[in-house]
Amino acid sequence: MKNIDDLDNIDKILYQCMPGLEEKLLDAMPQDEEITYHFSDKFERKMKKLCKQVKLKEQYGFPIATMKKSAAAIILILGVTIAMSLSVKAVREKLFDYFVKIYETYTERMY
Amino acid sequence: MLEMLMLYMSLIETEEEKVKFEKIYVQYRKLMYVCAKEILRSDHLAEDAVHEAFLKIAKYLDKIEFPCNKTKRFVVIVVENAAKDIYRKEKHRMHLDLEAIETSYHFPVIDGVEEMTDVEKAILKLPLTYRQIFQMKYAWGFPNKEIAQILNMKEGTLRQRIMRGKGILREILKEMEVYIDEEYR
Repeated sequence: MKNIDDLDNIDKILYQCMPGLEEKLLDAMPQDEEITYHFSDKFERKMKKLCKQVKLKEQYGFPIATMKKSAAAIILILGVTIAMSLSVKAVREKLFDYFVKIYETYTERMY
Repeated sequence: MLEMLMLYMSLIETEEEKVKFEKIYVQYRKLMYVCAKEILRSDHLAEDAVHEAFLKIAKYLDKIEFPCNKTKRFVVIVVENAAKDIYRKEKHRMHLDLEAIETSYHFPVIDGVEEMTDVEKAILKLPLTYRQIFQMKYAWGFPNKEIAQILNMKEGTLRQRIMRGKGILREILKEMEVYIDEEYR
């Protein structure tokens, strides 16, 4: 007879019993066709959206929502950087000078 | 032209091409709903639990084999935990005792369904938290790290629960006067 006071023996018992018990439990679970329940429209909509996101992630390696967020973040950072740069008078004048120079150098007037 | 054709071909979705996530959703959503309903006793909250569970399943999709009995157990455990989490959030509005649910909840109900050994009956008397851990660890061989991730707990906490669960099982076996003979080596 086994000494169940020793937890190592409980461990061995669990390794021996659990697979068989698990099989019985899984066999006893109802099959999908036995369950008659209609999910709400709200749930179906949420799941459809989730399925679409996961599908895109599986196909392209990243979720489309992440891609949109990344693009928005990049645009925002660029916009803020440009606005901040142009708010400095020296930078603004240098930039205008550059455009004037380009215009004068490469514009040819023909009469 | 060839690129366009390939793009259109990739958009055609046959039954075989349906992605794993969708297959899991179609096959197990009703089963998951029944599990969640057993805990939450509300259609609306059970649907929320199923949705939460699928958000979690999406994270582990690369580790899931399909079709497979392990997946069936995995989705059931995930939805049971999602239902428990929702219960904790909503408990001020509900009149159910989580501790009572932990010990009395059995899915599937297997009374008299199969011939069960005394040890198996003892294991089923364990609270849900310990049963789930033992199912993943001893029946399916999930490593501790993965079990901890799935159940949202630290590995140290998991080890403690395994020890505590074994202790509780020992007490149940003693209480039931189950003697372990030579067949359990």
